[in-house]
Amino acid sequence: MSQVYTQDRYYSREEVVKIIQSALAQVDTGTERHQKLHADLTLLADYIQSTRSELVKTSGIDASRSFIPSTTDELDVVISETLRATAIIMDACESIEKVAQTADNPVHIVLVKAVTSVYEACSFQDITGQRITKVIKTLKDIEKKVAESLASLGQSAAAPLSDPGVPQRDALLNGPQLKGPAMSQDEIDKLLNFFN
Amino acid sequence: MAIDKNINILVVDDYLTMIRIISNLLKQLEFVNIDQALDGKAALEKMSGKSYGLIISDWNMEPMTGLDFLKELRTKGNNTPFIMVTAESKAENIVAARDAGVNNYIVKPFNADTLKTKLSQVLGAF
Repeated sequence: MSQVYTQDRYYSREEVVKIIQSALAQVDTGTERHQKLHADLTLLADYIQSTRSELVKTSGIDASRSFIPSTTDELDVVISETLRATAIIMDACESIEKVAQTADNPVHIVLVKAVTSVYEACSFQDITGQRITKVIKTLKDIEKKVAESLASLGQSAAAPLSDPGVPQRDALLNGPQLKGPAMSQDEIDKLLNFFN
Repeated sequence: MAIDKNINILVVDDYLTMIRIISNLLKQLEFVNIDQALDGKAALEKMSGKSYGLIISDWNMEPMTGLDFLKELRTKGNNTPFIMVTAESKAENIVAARDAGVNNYIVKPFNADTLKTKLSQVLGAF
């Protein structure tokens, strides 16, 4: 049930509406000041009703039932597929590196350098995985909030079909660094040198 | 001091791809004894039966983070050189890791040269 909290207690939506209606009934519309108060209270009552209607309409969009779960499922697939592809790339690189060990210079040097570049580039998978996991968590949080809002209005279909649960890589949601507040390797080195 | 390439190195990361990348780069630098663990708790278990000359650890892992792993080690009086390899690059993270006793810090994404530089800073010249 939708509730409003004051310093003393919680009020249900129905109680709030009753209080407003009661106040409206008691306001004398004879003076300009009272007319203004009456208009404000009417506006407030309309606002509550329209908010309720908007939230009910949200269930028509069915965000929590299909759109968000399917989107998060697709993003999960992106993570698993990039993970799989990266593993294949790594396998191939390790095979090339073994061959490189038997090659003479300069072929050996060229192959090792090329493989090293691929290793470095493969870290993209860790970074994109973290970013996408962060987006998935945000979408699931939205899904949960929508469901809670609908449930508070008594919509029986409000509960999400998928349990957001504990994100698999919840602990990874802080990285990698974004431009702005994040620091570069050089800045980190300077900071560590300062401490030392 | 010349770097000892026979030391035991423990690479800790919950992404196997990252473990493979770091391990392969270490092998290119002729380190041969490389173990792996998927989080701080698993790393502590590894360390209960073996001594290591270097730990290279991610920060964000479950159930035990790299920072908690580092704190646990230092609390036990274990001073194994510890390099944090992480995307956590905010100043407060660096300070927290430094306060916990980290020896060096590599921010992701990194390249082979950065890893080599950090290894020489912690272990000695190549």
